[in-house]
Amino acid sequence: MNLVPDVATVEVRRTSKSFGPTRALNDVSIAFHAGRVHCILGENGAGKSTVGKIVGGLYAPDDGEVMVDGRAVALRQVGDARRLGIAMVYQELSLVADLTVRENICLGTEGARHPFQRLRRRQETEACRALLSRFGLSFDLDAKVGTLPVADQQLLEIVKALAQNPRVLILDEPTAMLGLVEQQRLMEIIGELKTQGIAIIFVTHHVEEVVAVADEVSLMKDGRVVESFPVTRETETAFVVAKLAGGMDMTASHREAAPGREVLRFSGLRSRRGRLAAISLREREIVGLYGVVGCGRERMAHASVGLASPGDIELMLWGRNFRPANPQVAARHGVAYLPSGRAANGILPNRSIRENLMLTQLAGHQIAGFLRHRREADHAERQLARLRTRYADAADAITSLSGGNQQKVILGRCLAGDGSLIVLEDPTAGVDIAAKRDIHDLIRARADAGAAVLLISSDLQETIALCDVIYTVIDGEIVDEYRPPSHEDEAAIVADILGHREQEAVEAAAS
Amino acid sequence: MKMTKDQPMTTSETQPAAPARSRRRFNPADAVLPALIVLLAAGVGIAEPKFLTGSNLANLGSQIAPLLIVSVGQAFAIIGGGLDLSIAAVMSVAGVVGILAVPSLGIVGGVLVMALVGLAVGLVSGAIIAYMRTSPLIVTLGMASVAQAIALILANGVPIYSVPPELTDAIGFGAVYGIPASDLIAAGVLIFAAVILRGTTLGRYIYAIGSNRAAALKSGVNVPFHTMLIYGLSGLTAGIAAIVLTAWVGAAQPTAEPGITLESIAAVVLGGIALTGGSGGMIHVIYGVLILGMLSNAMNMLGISSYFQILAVGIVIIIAVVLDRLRRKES
Repeated sequence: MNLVPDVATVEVRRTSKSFGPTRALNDVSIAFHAGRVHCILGENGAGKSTVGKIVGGLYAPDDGEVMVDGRAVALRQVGDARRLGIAMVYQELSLVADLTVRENICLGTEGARHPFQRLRRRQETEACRALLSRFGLSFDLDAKVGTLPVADQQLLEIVKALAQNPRVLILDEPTAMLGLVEQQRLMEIIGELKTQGIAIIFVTHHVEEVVAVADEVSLMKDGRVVESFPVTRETETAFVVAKLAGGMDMTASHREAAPGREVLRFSGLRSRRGRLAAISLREREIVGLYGVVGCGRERMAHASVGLASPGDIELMLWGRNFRPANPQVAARHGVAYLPSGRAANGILPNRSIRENLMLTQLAGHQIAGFLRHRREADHAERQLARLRTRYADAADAITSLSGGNQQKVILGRCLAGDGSLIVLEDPTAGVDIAAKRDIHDLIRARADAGAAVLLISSDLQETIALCDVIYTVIDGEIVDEYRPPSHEDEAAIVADILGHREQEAVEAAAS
Repeated sequence: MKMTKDQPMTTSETQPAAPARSRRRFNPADAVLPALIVLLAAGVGIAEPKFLTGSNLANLGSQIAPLLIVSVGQAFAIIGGGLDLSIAAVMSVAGVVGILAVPSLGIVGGVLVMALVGLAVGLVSGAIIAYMRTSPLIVTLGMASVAQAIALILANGVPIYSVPPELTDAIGFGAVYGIPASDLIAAGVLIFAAVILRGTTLGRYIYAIGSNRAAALKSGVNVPFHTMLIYGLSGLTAGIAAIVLTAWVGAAQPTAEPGITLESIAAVVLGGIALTGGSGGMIHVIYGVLILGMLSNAMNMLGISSYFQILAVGIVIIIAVVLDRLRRKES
């Protein structure tokens, strides 16, 4: 049990920060101590990441100070924070795809006194090897980072921060892109860092993660710290859960509606057990594919919207062969798609909420190519209300909204047509619990209205809560079917996607 | 390196075997450009036997030296995720200022002034691009106009012929073992640039900034400072090219080689450096410049009008960007 030292390793004092009209932080004070994991917990848009980015030197506070070892410091750029031993792992990937693993790990740690200083490759390689072996990780140091799977990149991101030998490590939603295996790995790494006396700032909105690693918690809401308290006893853990969950019902709530006709069928799938060579999605049915990142479920989703070649898999839409060349063709056949990665694939960042929502619905609001703005605006307002979006003016930039509300807008865009098949990837990634509940309701409502829904989510709780049937996937093969899934199936599902039931499956196929 | 200092390497049962070092495999695509260069040389040599004579090759060498030098600078700008549209104008102003400085500073002084003017103009553009977060396209285009105007004003709009004969003899027509001095300078620039790109922190940061600026920033790289240096180096190569060109032509022209900016972009992209930044090296510059230079030399020998040569450069640059696009689609 760690004793809290008198002087905090890092502290933010009475800091405020605004972005344009949005007040991201309002008079926030939090102290972070050596050898302790301090979770900053809150809904999206609560200001959690902003605290991390101020300590990490990416943002300068408008007001207030950052103290390191009790002394006020000026963090004008990331390099300033690094020199003080503060390292940050960003929520969004920040690796250089064209550089190798070694070059990425060492980027910014070269300690150059002048730009023409020679690179010391051998020392870098040795240092990387030592670092990786310390955490039991294995990477090809000469591989270009762009060629690695996303989960590996996320782990590498953490390794890169550790390469600085930091005293303070900031993790901003580090598990967002990780599969379960990698998440477990991360928790072990955090445990080890803690024993080395590193102060860890863990920004998250997952209560389970807090329960797993936190020593202290600061709850944030609307740019303020609601309360900070140590996590030591089970009762308090339960208290955190209750506090944040706010009555969120994540138990599986299976809908009564009976499935209708078959909309989409994947056949020619590989399956160790033989019997799952085909998967069909029917009207009013929500089907989930679950597995670790890169297991092949993305490929199935992408094939159905024309973003990837289906390979050996055959797709039938309404009983006819379906090989859309691109998402436009897929959309013409009634396939709507919500991609993962809101910032990269979802929003048009410098356009208005209305334009973002109406992007694919212009057909009904134009005459000979000229937009009927009034009609479009009315329609947009009605949709935004239905989506329960919180916004000031539909003409504001979409980036003025919180993550959850941005997500509702692009989900609204996806659900707007009369698509008979809805393909959703991580529909609630980086979204607060209230918005998550709204989004789940919208998805269920769409399924009740007759659509078939294909869900690809890294969130197992969500997959279980939403889906009528879950198929587990590993290495492009279907492992098992859960119909209907329940929380009791969790352990089995996890075993499936980690390959722990491989042996059993082989035996079953043999008998 | 600091990260190993405090933590001794732990060896345990769970430690994974060090992954096998990936050897750089031969990629047939890498051979396309060298093969094209050989084919082009052979083809032109057959059509016009004089092409492959020593004197013409030396002539070709002198012709391409300025383009080779500025393409190195252009490559820095493009690898760093930008573009330098001021090269021709910077060459002009550097040449004019340098020659005007010869009477007071001597020949060596004048030559140094050319390089320094290039460097200074580049650093100014770079500082505006880096610290004001402005588009390299517009800043260097504006700077091109400024530099061009200064060159015209200082030279009164006419070429200055008072180039010292020593300079012309040494750099313009000098040769070591038959290799033109201008090419030796170009080779020096190439080697210097290759060392920077591959061996220094600046080089790594240029790739990092060009590949993913935000990631470099978040890694603690001083992105604005290094961005400024990129354009400083690009300006420096324009200054060095001005030395070579002035010596070869025997005059400081206020509008020297107006087409060289576009040619340098064409050469860099044709050579295989992605316009999106973050990749490519000096070998690609050599490929691109050789192809463009040989085309132009061959067209001269075959008596094709210079208007058609301009046409050819235009077509080549368009082909180059299409190839650039196709290359990226593959990977």
